[in-house]
Amino acid sequence: KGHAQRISLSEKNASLEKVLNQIKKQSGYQLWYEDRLLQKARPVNISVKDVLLEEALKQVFIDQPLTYEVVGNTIAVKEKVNAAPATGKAPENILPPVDVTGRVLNEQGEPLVQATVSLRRGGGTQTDINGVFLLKDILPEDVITISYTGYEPVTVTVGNKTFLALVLKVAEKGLDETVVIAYGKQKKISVTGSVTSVNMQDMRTPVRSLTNALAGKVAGIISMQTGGEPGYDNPAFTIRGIGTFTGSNSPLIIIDGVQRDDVNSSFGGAYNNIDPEDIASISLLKDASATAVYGARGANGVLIITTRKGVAGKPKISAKIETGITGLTKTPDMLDGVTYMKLLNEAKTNMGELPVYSNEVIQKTASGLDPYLYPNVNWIKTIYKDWAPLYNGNVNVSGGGEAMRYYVSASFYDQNGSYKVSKTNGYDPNLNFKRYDFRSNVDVNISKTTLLSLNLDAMLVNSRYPGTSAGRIWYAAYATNPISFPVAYPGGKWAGPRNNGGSNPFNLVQNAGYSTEFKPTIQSIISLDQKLHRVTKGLGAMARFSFDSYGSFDNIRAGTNDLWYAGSRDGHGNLVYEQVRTGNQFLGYSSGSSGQRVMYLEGNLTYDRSFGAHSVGGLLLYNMRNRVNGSADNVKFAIPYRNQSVASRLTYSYNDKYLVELNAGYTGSENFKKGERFGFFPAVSVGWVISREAFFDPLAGAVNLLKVRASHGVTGNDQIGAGDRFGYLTYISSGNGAAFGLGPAYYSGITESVFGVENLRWEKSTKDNLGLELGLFNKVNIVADVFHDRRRDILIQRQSISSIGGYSLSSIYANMGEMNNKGIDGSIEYNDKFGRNTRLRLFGNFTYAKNKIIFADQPKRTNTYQQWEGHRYGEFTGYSSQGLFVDQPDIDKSPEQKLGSVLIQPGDIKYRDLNGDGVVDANDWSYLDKSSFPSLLYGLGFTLGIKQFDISVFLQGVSDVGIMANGSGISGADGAAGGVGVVPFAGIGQYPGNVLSNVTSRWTKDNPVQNVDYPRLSVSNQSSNNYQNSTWWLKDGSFCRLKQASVGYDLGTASLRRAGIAGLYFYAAAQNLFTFSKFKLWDPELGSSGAAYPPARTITVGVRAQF
Amino acid sequence: YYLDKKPDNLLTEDMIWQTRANAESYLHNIYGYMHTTDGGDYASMGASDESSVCISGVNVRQMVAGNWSAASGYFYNWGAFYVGIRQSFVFETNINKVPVVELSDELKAQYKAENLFLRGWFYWQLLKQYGPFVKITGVLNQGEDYNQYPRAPFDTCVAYINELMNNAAQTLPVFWNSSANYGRPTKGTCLAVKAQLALFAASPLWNGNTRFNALKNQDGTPLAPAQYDAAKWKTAADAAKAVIDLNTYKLYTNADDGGGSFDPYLSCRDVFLRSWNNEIILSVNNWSYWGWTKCASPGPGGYNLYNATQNVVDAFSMNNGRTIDDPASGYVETGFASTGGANSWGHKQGDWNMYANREPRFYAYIQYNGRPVLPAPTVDDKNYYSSDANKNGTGRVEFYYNGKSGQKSAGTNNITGYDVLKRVNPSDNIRNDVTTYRPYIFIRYAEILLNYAEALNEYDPANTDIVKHLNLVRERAGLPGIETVYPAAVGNKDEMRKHILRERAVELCFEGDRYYTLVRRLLLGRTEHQTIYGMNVNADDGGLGFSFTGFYQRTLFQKRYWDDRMYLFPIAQSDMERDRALVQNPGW
Repeated sequence: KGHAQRISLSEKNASLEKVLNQIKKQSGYQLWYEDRLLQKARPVNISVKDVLLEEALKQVFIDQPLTYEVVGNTIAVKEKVNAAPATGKAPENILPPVDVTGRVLNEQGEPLVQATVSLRRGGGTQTDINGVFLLKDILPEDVITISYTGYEPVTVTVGNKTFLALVLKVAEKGLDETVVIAYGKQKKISVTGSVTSVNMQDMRTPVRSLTNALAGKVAGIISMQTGGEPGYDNPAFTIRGIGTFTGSNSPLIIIDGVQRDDVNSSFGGAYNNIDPEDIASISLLKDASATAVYGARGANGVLIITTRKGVAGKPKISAKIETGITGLTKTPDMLDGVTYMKLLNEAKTNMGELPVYSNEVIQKTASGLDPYLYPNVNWIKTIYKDWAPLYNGNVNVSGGGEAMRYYVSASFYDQNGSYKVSKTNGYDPNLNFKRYDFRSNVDVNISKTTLLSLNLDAMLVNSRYPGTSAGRIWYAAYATNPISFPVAYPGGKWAGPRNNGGSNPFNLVQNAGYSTEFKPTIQSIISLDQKLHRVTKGLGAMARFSFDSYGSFDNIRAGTNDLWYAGSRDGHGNLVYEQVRTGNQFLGYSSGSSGQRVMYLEGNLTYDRSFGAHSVGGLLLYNMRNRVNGSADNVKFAIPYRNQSVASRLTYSYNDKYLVELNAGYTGSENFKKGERFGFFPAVSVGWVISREAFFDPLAGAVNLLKVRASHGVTGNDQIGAGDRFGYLTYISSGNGAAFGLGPAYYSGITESVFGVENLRWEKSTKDNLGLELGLFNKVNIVADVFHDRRRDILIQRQSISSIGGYSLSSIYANMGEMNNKGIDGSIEYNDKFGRNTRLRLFGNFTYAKNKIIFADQPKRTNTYQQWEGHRYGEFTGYSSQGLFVDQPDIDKSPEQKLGSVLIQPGDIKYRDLNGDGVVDANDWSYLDKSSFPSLLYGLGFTLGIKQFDISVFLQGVSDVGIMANGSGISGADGAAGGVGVVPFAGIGQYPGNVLSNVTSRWTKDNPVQNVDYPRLSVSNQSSNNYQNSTWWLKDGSFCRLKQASVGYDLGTASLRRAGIAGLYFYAAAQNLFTFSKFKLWDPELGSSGAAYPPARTITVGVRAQF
Repeated sequence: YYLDKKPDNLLTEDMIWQTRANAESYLHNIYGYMHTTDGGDYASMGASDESSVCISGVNVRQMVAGNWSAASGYFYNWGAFYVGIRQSFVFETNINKVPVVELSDELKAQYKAENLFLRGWFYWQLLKQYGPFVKITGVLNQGEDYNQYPRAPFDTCVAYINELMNNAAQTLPVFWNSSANYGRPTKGTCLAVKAQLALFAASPLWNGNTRFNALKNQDGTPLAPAQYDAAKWKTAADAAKAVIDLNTYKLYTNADDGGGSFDPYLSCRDVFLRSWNNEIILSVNNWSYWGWTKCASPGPGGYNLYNATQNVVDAFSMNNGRTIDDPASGYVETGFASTGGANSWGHKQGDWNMYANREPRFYAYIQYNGRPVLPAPTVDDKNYYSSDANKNGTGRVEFYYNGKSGQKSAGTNNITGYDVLKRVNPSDNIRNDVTTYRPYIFIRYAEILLNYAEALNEYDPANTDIVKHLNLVRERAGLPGIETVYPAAVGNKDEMRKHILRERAVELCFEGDRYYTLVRRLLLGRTEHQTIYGMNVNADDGGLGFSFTGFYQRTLFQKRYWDDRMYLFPIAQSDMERDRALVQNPGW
C-alpha cells in the first residue's frame, strides 16, 4: 500500500472525530472506536503537510486522553492505559518475552470464535468463545496472523504491545476484492476478461422476475419485458444484444456452478424466481476470454448467480417483510360509445356508405338513461382495477463456526392480478401468484483441507389464473366496442354478443372459470473441495454433483355461462331477452403436467500460487450434463439432452501488473453427428494495470486504478433454433393424408419434414473485446468495453433452393448464416461521503449493441432494398409514407397504390414508389432501419444517505427501438380479426372493434391536416392501404422509466443493539412509477402488441431487521 | 459415447420402401397435394363474377381489386405442386424395392399408375394457373444449380401431361370393383383430365392469343403456340367423347338411390352430398366440408363468408327453361309472389318475384333473402336464424339490414344479399357445427358433357351431338331441351356457344369452372364480368323486415379491377429470384 498514506491536515479546535475522518478519507483507512470514548476527546490543533500517516496520528493524539493503534488498515482508538506518553520511544534494549492477549472481532463488533491465530515463527492458538486469545512468550518482533474463514486475514507485528484489538473484515472487499468467473473466482484486479458484477444492493426490489430487476443495473444487459402477467413476465433477456438470427439468443445461466438456463421458460423461470435476498453475487461474463471455457454454450454470454453462504459467527437473523400495492403501468384509452358511433358514421360516410347510427341512437347513448339498450361500456376500466395487494418476505439465518457454516432462508412472494373480479361464482377468478422458496446452504470442514458443501433449494410456485388467457382477455377488450352490449342486465343476466364471434370481455374474466398451476422446483448441489497442499502448494481439487427436478401441473376449470342479449323493450318497458348462449352447468375439468430433471457432474483441479511477484493459476475441468424432458411429445425430444466438456485455464500475472490468461473449452453436444460433436474453443486475453507501474506514482493520488485489457477468442452456440434437434438426421414424419371409399376411410401419409445434412455443427462466435478500467480519487470507478462479435456457421434453414426442386415444404439445415454484433458497454460509479452524515452514490451504465445480418442464404432479391442481409435482426419492414394525399389531383399524379381493396381517396397514406414502376405494391416495401429490439439500454441512479435517512432513485431506459403501431402486433383471436383496437373498426364476423381514443386525431375533409395520428377514417383491416406496415406507423419506442425510487430510515441505535436488534430499517419503495416516452398509446416496452398485460407498477412499504 | 444418443424410432428413407404400409403412406402424402382448398379457393370463390367473399382483406378480394403483384404470393401453389412432383419421382424410383410379400406386383403397378396420374394432375394445375411450367423429369438435388431450368413451351407441357395420363390410363381400371378405392383415379379420370386439358388448349387463351407472342424464354424459345389451330377443338371434342364412350358415367338423379320418382331439385342438390355416385370422375375425400358449410352458411350459425352475386342469380333460367332476359320467360323483377311454387322446394308466397318460378338448380344452389336456412334441422335451429318477429319455425334467412344475418347485427357480413348453397347438406346443423361427410368433386360427368358440346360446337356446329349432350344436363336439371325453347340456336355456332356457356355457369357454379372458363375464353376481362351486382344490403329497412322492398334493388357491389396480365398468375417473385432462368408471365 504505497500510496495515499501521506496526510495533510490543518485544523484549529476541531473535534477529534472530524480530524480522524479527514485522515480516514485521505488514507483510505477505516476507523474503529466507541462513541463514548470520543466524548472524552479534546479539541485538536494540527497543521501538517504531506506527512506519513503514523506521523499525523502521533500529532493528533498528543494531549489526548486517548491513544490509537493501526491494525491492518484500521485505525483503532482506545483509552490510554497509563499516563505514559504514547509518543515515547521504546527502550532500546531487548525486552523479555511477554504474554500477549488479543481480541478478534468482526466489523460489527462481534467476537469471532475459533479464529486461527498463528505465529510466523511457528505455533499458534485459536480464539475462545469471546474471541479472545492468549499467546505466551512473545517477542516484539513476532508476527502474528489471524485468519478466519470468509474474512480477510490480518497480520500484525507485536512490537511492545501486550493487548491486540483486531478487527477482521469480511473478504471480497477492497483491493483484494474477488469476482466470480467461470468455474471459480479471481481477484478483481487480475481479471483480463470482460466480467461485470452486479451490486446486490441494487437488486433489493420487489420484482418477481430476477432478470427484470437486472435491466439497467449492470453494463452488458439488453432486455425487454413484453408482458407483465405475473408468473409470465420474464423479459427477453440478452447479454450484449442479439448475436444470432436463428436459434437461441439467451445467455447461459449458471447458478452456484451449475447450468440452469434451459429449463427456465417452461417452469415459470426457475432462476428468475430466486429471491434476491438469497443471492450473494451476480456476474456477467461477456467476452470470449470469460466464456470460452463454456465452449459451445458460451456464445450468448454467461450469467453466474451465486447464492449466499454462511459466515461463521453467532447466528445472524435477517428478516425482510414488505407489503404494497401493484397495478399496471399503463392501460390504453379506448373510444367512448358516443365518439365511437360518430366516428364509425364518419368512416361509413367516407366509404360512400350510409351512416350506421342515427342521431337519435347517439343521443340516447349519450344520455345514459337506458344503459341496457344503449350501453356505453369502458371495457378496460371494467376489467382492470387500479391496485391489487402484494406481499413479500424473507427470513434468513446464517452463522456457524470454523467447522460448519450455514445459510438457511425462507421467502414468500404473493402478488394479485389486476382483474376487477369478485367471488360471485364460488371461486375467485383473479390471478394470484405465490412463491415459496426455502434454501439451505451448508459448508462443513471435514478436515483442515476438506470442505463439503450442500446447497438445497426447494421452491414452489403456486398460482391461479382466470379461465381465459390474459392475451385473449386483452384482445377482447380491444376488440369489443363500447356499445355492443352492457356488461350484464338486471337480475344477473350476463350480456353477450348476439351473433357469431365476439365476446363480453369482462365475462371472459369473471365467469369463465379458473386454472391453477403449481410448479415445484428442487435444485441441489453437493460438492467436495479438497486442498492438495501436501501434493504441492496451491493445488486443489473439487468434485460437484447436482440434480434438479422441475415440475409443472395445471388444473383447468373452464366453463361458459348463459349469455343474454336484449335488443328491445316490450310494451311494459321490460327488456326483451334473447338467450344467445347456453352455458355449462358445471365448470369443466382438464389438466396438464410436465416435468424435467437435470443431472450434472463436475470434477476439477485448480492451482493457484505465487512465487514472489509471479502468480500462476490453472484450472482443468471435466463436466457432463444430462437433461431429460419427462413430458416430451415424441421420442426426438424425450432423448436426454447431453453435454460433455473439458475446460482449462492458465493465468499468469506479474505483480498484479502484467496479466495473461489462456482459456479453452472442448465441449460436445448430442445434437450433432458423431465426429462433429466436439469443438475446441480457445481464447486469450491480456491485461496491464498501468496504475501499478512506478512511473505512475505521481498520478497515484488522482488515479488509483488504470487498467487496460484485451481478449480474443472463439465460443459457440449449439442451440439450433425452433427447439429442434438432430438437424443431421432426415425426419420422415406424418404428412398429408388421403381418403378413399364410401365412408370414407382416412389414411395417414408420411413426408420428409427434415432433410438431414451431414457435418452440421454449432455456431461459432469470434469475439474481440477491449476494456478499460479507471478509478479516480478512490471515489469514481469507470469501466468501458468495446466488443465485436462475428458469428459464423449459424445454423439456418436453407432459403435459396428453388421451389422447383420440390423441397419447399421441408426443412434443410446448414451452417451458413453469418452475423456481426458490435457495441460498447460501460459503467461509472461515484461514491463519496460528505461530513459524517452524508453519503452519496451515483451510478450509471449502458449497453449498446448493433447487429447486422451478413448472410442468411436468401436469394438475391430483385429489389435490392428487400435483401435481408445487411440489416438488423428484428428490423421492421414496410412502406415509406410520404404523408397523406392532399386531394384528388395529388392522387392522380402519384403512382397508383395497390395495397388494400379500398379506393384511394384524399386523406389516405401516400407511399413512395421505390422501384419506380409507377405502382405502389409489394415491390415497394423496404427495411426501415428500426428494430423491435433496442440497441441501447441504460440505467442510472443515485443513493443519498443523510444521517439515518436514505433516498435512492433509479432510472432505466432503452433507445433506438421501434414500435409498429398499426396493430400489426395484435393477432386475431378466435378466428377474428387482427389489429383490433388500432385499426379502426376492424373485425369480421363480429362487432367492429373498438379503437384507441387518439383516433380522434385524424384527417377529415373539414380539417385536412397532416399532423394527425390517423389518416382518413374508414372501416379497415390490417391489409387496408392505410394500415400496412409503414413509416407512418413506425414510432420511436424509446422510453425511460423511473424504475425504482425508495426512501428508508435506519433505526440502528445503541439501545436497539442492546436489545439484540442489530439493525432496523424502514423503507417505502416504488417500481415503474413513471415512464417517459414519446409513445403514449400503451406501455412502450410491450412493443408492437399493445394488447398485452402491461408491466407492473408497484408501491411497497417494508422493514428489514437484523438480529 | 455419452453423447451417442439419437432417436431410435426414426424412419429412414430406405425404410419407407421396406413395408407396404410405409410405401402406401408415402403415396397418400402425395395425394394430399391435390387438395389445396376447402372449396374457398380463388377459382371457386371470389375471382369470377359468380361469387365474392365478404372480407375485403382476403387475398381473392385483393386480386379482384388489382392489388397484387409477383411479390404478393396469393394462392401460391407452385411450391407445393413441385413438392408433389418431386415425391412422385421418389415414389416411382423406389416402389419396386418393396418386397413382393409386402406388396404384390399388381398393386405396385396400380400405385405407379396412380402416382403418374398425380404427377400429371399437378402439372395440369400448374399449367392452368401459371401457364408453361418447368418440366422436371427426375429428383433434383439440393445442391443443383437451379438457374439452369427454364420453362417448357405450352405444347410441350400439354404433350407431357397427355403422356402421363396415357401411361396412367394403361394400367388404371375403368371402374374400381371395390368401393374402398373410390377416390383413386381411374382410366376415365385420366381421359377426363385429357379432355379438360384439350379444351383448355383449344380455347383462345392458348390458341392464337397474340398477347402471348412475346412470352419467350431467355434463349428466344417461344412459350406459347405461334398459330391458331382449329384442329385443337376437334382434339378437345374427341377427348371428351372418349370419356363418354367409356359408358361408365351417368348424371346422378335422386332415383339412383332408390329415392322414388325423379326430382330435379334433389338430383342437382344431392349429387354433391352422396358419398359416391356415378357422376363423379375425380373427387377429393378428405377436405373440410365443415369449413365450407360454415363459410357458406348465413349468420349467426355460419360465417356468411361465401356470397353469390346477382350476376350468377341472373344466369339461372326460369323453370320453363327460358332465360330471364327472354320476354317469354315470365320473369318478374319486382313485387312479392302472391302464391308459392308448385314444388315444396320452390319459392314460397311472399318471396320476392325475382326468386319465383326459377329453375330447380336456383333453389339448390342459391341462398336468397327469405329462403329458409338449410343446415338447420329443427324448429329451434331454424328460429335461431330469425328475429323475434319472424320466429315461426321456418328459419327464413334475413339478409336485410336489421335482419339476423344482415349488415347491422352481423357487422361486415353478407355483402351481396346471397349466400352459396351448393354442397350444403340439410342434415347438417351448422349452428352447432354438426356436418356430415361428402366428397369434394373435382371433375364430374356433367362437365365432360358440356366440354364435348362446347368443343364440338366450335368446329362442327351442325353436329346433333351438341344438342343431345347439352340436353342431358338440362334434363337432369328439370328443364326442357334447348331445341324446344331456343330452336334458333341449334346449328348456330355463336348462339349455341352462349347457351352452352350459360349452362356451364349454372350447372358448374361455385366449382371453379366459371373462373377458368372465362379465363380460357378470354372473357374474364369484359366489363360485364367485372361489374358485380348484389342486393341493397346496406339500406336500413326501418324495421320492415321481409316486407322492405328497398332491399331488392340491384346494387352495384364492385367494379373490379382488370388487367389482361391477370389471365395468368404471376410466377412468384421469390421463385424468379431462385431460378434466374425463369421468364415472368406477360405484364407482371
